[in-house]
Formats: sequence, structure tokens, C-alpha cells
Amino acid sequence: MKGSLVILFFFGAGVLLARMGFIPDYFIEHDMTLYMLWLLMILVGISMGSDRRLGEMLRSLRPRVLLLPLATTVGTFAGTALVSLFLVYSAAECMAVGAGFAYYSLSSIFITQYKGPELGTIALISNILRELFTLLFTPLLVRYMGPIAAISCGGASTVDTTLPVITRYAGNQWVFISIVHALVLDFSVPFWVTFFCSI
Amino acid sequence: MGLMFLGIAVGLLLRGRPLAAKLARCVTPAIMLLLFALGISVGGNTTLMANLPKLGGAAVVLTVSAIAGSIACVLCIRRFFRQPPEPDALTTPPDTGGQTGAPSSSSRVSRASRASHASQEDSQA
Repeated sequence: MKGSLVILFFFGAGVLLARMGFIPDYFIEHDMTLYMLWLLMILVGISMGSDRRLGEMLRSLRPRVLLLPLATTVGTFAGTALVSLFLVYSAAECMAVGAGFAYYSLSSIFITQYKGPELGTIALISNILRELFTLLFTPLLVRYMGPIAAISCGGASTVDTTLPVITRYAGNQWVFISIVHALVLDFSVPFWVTFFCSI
Repeated sequence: MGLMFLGIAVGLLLRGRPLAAKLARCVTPAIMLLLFALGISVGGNTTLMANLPKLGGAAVVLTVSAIAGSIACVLCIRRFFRQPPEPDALTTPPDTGGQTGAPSSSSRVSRASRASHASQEDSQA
């Protein structure tokens, strides 16, 4: 909760500062987001590669566990494709936004690069909302639809920001599947987003 | 994409060294810088700022539909997940029960009767 609020704050600060003209024109003309993205990709890769849990997770993977990220992916794409009928954006663009799976930092930058800042901003807001929704409604989802509904709702965020709340309300025995779910989705985010952007 | 695999390779090489942990901690500040840069490019774009309420509405619609779709799909496969599919290797260490708070929801209690290792953890907590 606190983490995503801090991130929202930084985004809002950037918007406000640029709006009020405090940012030198150089930064507005030369888009900094691409270099930031490269830096972030290397750092995320390093933290994944140096994490001891990664090998352990991959070794202990059961085929059945992969059903859950698959269901999340299929469901997200079906939902966003369906709702694209009512929006001005194409089905591929809507699915690119959905393919962020609450991994807003990476997906919104990718979409900004490929489709421009308009869809990128939608992706950012939409994926932050998905994380916020998960944080707020996990207790209800666990009670009425079961723990895997909450994990699926959290998308790729169930390995970090929403893991504590899922552990708290679903129980410790769901931590493993939650982490695998998020790791699979994490890896698939760059793939799906670039795929749907290039259609 | 290629940069991420480069990073994974570097991370594997650096595994166990303090430098890797330091670099991994840099992810959060990097995300903040990134979002700050994104905010600048959004705020510097005047046509975008004029349309912000419309964009927010589209974002809400997309989020709700994405979550609804996910949950609908998950309900279809729910019968495969009556028991938490967790390998034994990760359940047996006794310290795994330590970090959660008190189990609160009633669904957890009913699940404990179905899954044997869940009841084990309940007795530890």
C-alpha cells in the first residue's frame, strides 16, 4: 500500500513539475524514460539472477501450478478484449494494457515507447488500480471466491507488494503458488506487451 | 528484453556477493526515477493533460474488466486447487509459520480439515 502510494507520488510530482514549467526543456524534448527503462531492466534481471529462490522455484514447479497464471492470462485478455468493444482503443491496445498484470512500471514504459504517452498513461493508471484493488479486496475475495481468485486478481504483483496481504488472509500454504504465479507473469509481461503493441 | 537476460546472467555471476544485494535494492529507487520521468513526459504533453479524466475512465474500465476476466477463468479451474499445491520441501521447515499474523478468515479453518499440512501449520501458529 505504502509502496504504491510513494510511486504514485513520484508520478504526480513529475506531472506537476513539468506542468508548472520547472523541468528544463531538454528533459521534455529528450525522453528520459527509455534510458530509465534500460537501467530498470538490468537491475530487475540482476535481482532475479542473484535470488536463491529462483532455482528452487523452478525445480519444484508442478504442471498444475502453471494452470493459475495461465487462467489469469486468458481471463485478463478475454476481459480486456471484450471491453475494447466499448472503448475507442483497439482490442490489441486494450490487451496490451491488460498484459501489464499490475506490473505498472515496466508495462507503462513499454507501451509509452510503442504507442505513445496516451495509452502509456492509461496502462499506468489501470495497472496501479489493479494492485490497489487487490490490496483492498483480497480479504473479500478470499472469503467468497477462494484464495486463488485473490492471487489471480493480484497478477504479477503477488510476489512483492500484494504478497503480505495474501499471506495474511489466505494463509501461508498459498505463498508458494502466489510466488510462482507472479514470477511466470513477470516474465511474460515484456513478451505480451511488445506482442500486442506490434500487432 | 535482452537487457533483462543480461541482467539475469550478471546476477547469477554475482550471486552470494554483497554487491548483488546492493544492486537488487536499487530497483525501488530506479522505479521511482522511472515513474518520475514518465510523469515529466506526461505533464509536459499538454494535449494529454487535457484528456486526463477520459484516460482515467478508460483505465478504470480496463482494470475492472481484466480482473473480472481473471476471476471468471479462475473459478473454472478452481476444482484443481482444493488443496494448496505446495511441494513438501517448502512446507516442512518449522519456521515457515512464523511470519503471518493470526489466521482470521473462516475459510482457512474449513480448509484446514481438508489439507493435512495446513492443520500442521495451524497448530504451530
